[in-house]
Amino acid sequence: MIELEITSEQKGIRDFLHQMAKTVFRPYAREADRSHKPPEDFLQKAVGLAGMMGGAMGGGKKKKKDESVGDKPDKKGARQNNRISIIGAEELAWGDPALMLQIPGPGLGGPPVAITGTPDQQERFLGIFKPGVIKYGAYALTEPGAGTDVSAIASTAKKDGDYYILNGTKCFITNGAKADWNVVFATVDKSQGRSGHRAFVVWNNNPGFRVGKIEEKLGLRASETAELILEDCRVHKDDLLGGEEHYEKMKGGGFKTAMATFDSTRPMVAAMAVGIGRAAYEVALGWAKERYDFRRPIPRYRALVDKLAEMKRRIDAARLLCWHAAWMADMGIPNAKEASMSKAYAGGEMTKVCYDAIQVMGPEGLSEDYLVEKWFRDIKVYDIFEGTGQAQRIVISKRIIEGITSF
Amino acid sequence: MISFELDEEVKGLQDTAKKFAENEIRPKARDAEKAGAVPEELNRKYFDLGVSLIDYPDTVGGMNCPLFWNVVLQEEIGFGDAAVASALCGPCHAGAAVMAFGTDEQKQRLLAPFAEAAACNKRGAIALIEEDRGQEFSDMKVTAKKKGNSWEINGKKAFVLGGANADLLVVFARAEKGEGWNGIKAFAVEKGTGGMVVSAPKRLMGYNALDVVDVTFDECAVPAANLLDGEKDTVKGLIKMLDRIKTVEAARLLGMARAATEYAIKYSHERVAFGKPIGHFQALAFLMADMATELNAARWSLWRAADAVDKGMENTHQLVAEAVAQINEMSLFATNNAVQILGGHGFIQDHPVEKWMRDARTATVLFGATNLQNLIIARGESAGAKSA
Repeated sequence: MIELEITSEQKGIRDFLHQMAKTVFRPYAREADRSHKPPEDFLQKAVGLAGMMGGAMGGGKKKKKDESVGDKPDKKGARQNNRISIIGAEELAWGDPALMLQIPGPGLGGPPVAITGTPDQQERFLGIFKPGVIKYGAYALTEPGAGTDVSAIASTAKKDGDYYILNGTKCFITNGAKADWNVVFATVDKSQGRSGHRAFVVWNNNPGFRVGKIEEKLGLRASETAELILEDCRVHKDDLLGGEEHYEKMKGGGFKTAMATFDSTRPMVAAMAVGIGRAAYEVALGWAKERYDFRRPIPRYRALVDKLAEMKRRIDAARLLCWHAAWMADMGIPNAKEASMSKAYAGGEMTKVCYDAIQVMGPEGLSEDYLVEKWFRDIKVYDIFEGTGQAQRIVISKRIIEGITSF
Repeated sequence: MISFELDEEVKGLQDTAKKFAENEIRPKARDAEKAGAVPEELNRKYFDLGVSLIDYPDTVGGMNCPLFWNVVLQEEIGFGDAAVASALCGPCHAGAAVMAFGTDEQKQRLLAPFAEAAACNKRGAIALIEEDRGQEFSDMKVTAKKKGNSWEINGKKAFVLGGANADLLVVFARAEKGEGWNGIKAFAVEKGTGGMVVSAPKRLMGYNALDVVDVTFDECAVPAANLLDGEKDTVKGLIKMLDRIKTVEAARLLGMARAATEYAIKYSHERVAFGKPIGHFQALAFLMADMATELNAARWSLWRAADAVDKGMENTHQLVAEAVAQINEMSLFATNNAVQILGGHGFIQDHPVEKWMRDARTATVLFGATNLQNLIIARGESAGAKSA
């Protein structure tokens, strides 16, 4: 049976996270944006949050079944991680998207370790995230010459006895500088294409690892974006994610490790975009309501009505696409197309929603008295990271039109 | 927990309807358009499917299924042809009106005949809007006056959909003085009632299988027993009626948009230009990716609205408006681009896409224009309804 209303149990989780978003995130949003970092007070309050959210949000060490809410199966025995995560992601991003990315924990580095890591690796890498300790993990895939086309990465890994020697530059890495470790993708043989890719966990004190430039950005300013430089960086073979046998067994190798998480993370990033769009819409609506009366028989400001109504229904439709993709992920139904649909739609449409929120409010929308201008700057990257809107459309079109191998 | 899973029974219904749409409706769509009516044989076959009263109670011979089931069903029928789907036999909009406004006795008396074997060419319609009334439908000139044991209706109704030969016509008229909807009542006018003149069908750009007429009432006497007064609150009844009509018509339009999207996708990998199928060029592939994405987004909006109606939630009027607006805009986008993708061939009647483009533009006006839906949404939001 279809069920498009959330149950009282999830409502409880949502309401709790909404309260957190309202009291712990939103009040620090402006200050954090100005100072380009999360305030210490915020970190102390947020440190427990990542673990609560269960698997898909990359929350801490992988737990035994039934321990976290997300692992608890629904009535039909399916897991609920993805659905719960996106409900939570929307709320926290509504609070503040940049601070959401600053919640201590393994971040996007969590899922590949949890999915591909050996039990020993999971223990060593995820075990450092203990209650009350402010630590980060990160995920380093993008390079100056390899963004959407992740298969083009040029960082190299050469085997040298028990070690791999890594060389290359990673860029735009969220929390890459403050992280204790980064999941770093490199190729052992460029001629092998994707099957030459390997994922390593590189500690921040590995010899040959250093942090380059910290980026100044359009939005998400409170979130750290770092350049990482690998110069003859020595990584022990025990830190090759999954172990050497894993790559011998699996054709396609590390690339699949990189892609496997997208089916869960894309709907989640899309849900974050929905949270930002909703936040901007609510402020614009409240602003308009104080000034215009929509209940009059023929509102004088029909253009405003059309704009606000369109924002509202696009937000609701985007949320349903996220729910659909997450539901498929929980049910174990292949969802690459639907995950991309949610991301393509939410990334593009919520960018428009934030644009329109400013338009509704006029010059006040630009003012730092409101957060709308900040959200307008923040939202843009949701149509870029985790695969640009165009990358999503490549994924979708390959799955609806027969015979496309490449463009 | 959030789920998009269809029950086995609904899946079965969906399959049956899809086959019927492909085998029976699609091949007849052009004929129905030219004739301005559904062929009698098609009506018979549809009636024999047994689904024309799917979401009506069993007391009137219906299947007692949720509105959501009908939404799933009508997407498939609309996939065959949306205009035919809207023109097929059944109580149609009049049924929604009787269910919303009628007493149990009236429901039984007026709707049960649609379940009888001879009912395969029976249909119902409503007469709600008038010329030059714009979007404030309550500003109406048609009047009803009590005279003895009957009501006398006078005035002219416009754009009565499927009214050319209706067996049951529900007419909205001002029966008492009042502001807005206060004093407006619904009357069931049965076939053969005197004092009613139906115009020749209007010629519209699209959706031609469904006839659209004006109806003039001149001392039309309706028995007092046909005043639909089970629901005294006119606004409440209207919302209930329109929620059902709008979700079902939107489902048909959704089906048509899906047909256009699938047609364009199929064409795009058969047609070769510059040495490869045109669908393998990014400009067109991305366009079709967007069509497919918008289609899903609109469908989930409609499912959510129909489910809310079934659950008797409070904000259905707004959720239905959101769904209709999403489907309106999506269907215009999908059908317009289907013509674009077929290029010159899209303009020619050898392919159905030109018809779908005309049909979509017509349906998005006839069944609730997007700006009217936007107004409903904005008013709902302005009243303080929380988002999600």
